Order: sequence, then structure tokens, then C-alpha cells
Amino acid sequence: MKGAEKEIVLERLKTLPSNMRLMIGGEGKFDKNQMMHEVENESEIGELIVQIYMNGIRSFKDTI
Amino acid sequence: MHKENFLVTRADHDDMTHYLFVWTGEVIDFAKRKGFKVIDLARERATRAQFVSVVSDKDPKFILFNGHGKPERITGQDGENVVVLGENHDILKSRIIYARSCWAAQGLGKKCEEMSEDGCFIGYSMTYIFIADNNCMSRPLKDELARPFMESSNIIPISILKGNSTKEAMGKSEKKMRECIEFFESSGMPGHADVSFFLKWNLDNQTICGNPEASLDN
Repeated sequence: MKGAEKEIVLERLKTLPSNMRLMIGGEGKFDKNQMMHEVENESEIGELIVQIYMNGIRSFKDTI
Repeated sequence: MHKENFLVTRADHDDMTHYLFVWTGEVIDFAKRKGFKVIDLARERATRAQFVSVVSDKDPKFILFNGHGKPERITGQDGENVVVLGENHDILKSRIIYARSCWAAQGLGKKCEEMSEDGCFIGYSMTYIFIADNNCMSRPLKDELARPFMESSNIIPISILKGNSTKEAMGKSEKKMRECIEFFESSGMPGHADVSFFLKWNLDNQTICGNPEASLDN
């Protein structure tokens, strides 16, 4: 997990509505604070969240 | 193989499996309206023993799995192994499979492709995810955040039940996902652009292994 990517994702996660839950198969459900905790701690879930976001951001950039 | 028999497994032991359990109801209702004989292995019936017994007895051509997974396994109720690579994977041979299970396309899906030219396995090569609204956990069908994930996924079995090929079913699902991604990208509502990222993840990992022309009509 690159430092810059981590920061980008953490900033995005801060803007999520409090009612939103990310459901990850086999791992459970995560609210924004839990997601931020995972990303900050660079856990496996955190790595996945960063990967999902960076995949999406890059794809969004390509369509502009 | 009996193409009029449609086998569904529906675990329901955590929030994620509960959502799939409820949303699969739409697929089951459609199948029944079309005249299919639906064998619904729900909750405590979503076990390996029941699954093997039903497949042996009813020999369904099309199977829909709802349960957690790994590359080498698809599970049922309470995480019990239902199909495991190296143990009973050959039970999937020549059938049309759609597995809403993480990772299973990587292992079981690839194996299905090797086992036969006729069958097809649609699944996910990495983790299957979706977004849910915490205010709707007890009413998944009212969850407008989960809806794009669930509906675009349900298109696959519904399309197959209509007689479309697995390639066509994938195409319809992907089209729906792209439409939803575009909607959420441009909505401007808080968190919606992020929803599009999660949809994109499933879109990128939804995988077809085996015969893309497999259908219930051939």
C-alpha cells in the first residue's frame, strides 16, 4: 500500500455517509470508521479497500 | 441432465448471506413463473450432504450458489463446505453454474472449464462485495444502495432461465452494472461516487469460465 494511495483513500472514506456499510464476503460489514481503521493499520481488509478505490479512481480517470 | 430442474443454495447466517438470501427470492419467483422445478436448499438445507443428494437425484443443469467462497471451495450454511476442489468438484461437470461466492472462479471455475467443453461457470475471481444501507439491514429489498449490486447480479440467473447463453447473461449483467456505475458516478450525492468504485470492482472480477454458448436451450 503506497503512502499517497492510503491518504487518498482515507480522505475519501471520511466523506462517506454514516449509514453506508461495505459488505465483504466472508469478512463481514464495515462502516466508514471501521474501513478507515483497516486502511490506517494496513490490514488485509485495508489493502483490499485501497485496491478497490484505486481501481475505481484509475478507471474513472480513464473515462474523463 | 434435467434442464427443467433449477437448484439454488441459499445460506443465511450473517448479514451478507441474508441479503443474497432475500434478493435470490426474485430469481426463484421468476423461475417458478417460467415453469422450472426449483429445488431451494435454504438455510439449514444448504449443506454438502443435501446438495450432493439433490444433484444425484434431480441432476439439474443449472445451479445457483449463494454462499461464501475461496478459490477452491463454495460454502453453505454456517460456512460448511459444499463443493471443494479435489473432493467433489466433479459434481459440477458439464453444468451451468453461477456462484455468488468470493474467489471461486479462480479455482473451481477454472476446473470446470478443464472438465468439460459443455459446461460453464460464472463467478468471481476475487472478493465479492456490495454496499448496503445500515437503515435497511432488516429489509434488504428496500435497500437502494444494495439494489444495483443485487439486480445486476440477479440478471445472470434470470437471463439463463430465459434461455440465453452464459455469454449473453454476462453481457446483460455487465451492461446493467455499467449503467449503474454511470448513474452513481454522476449523481453528486454523498458516497455515490464511491458506490461506483465498488460496482466497478465486481464488474472487473465477474468471470466466465468454460463454454460461453452454454444455455438451457442446448
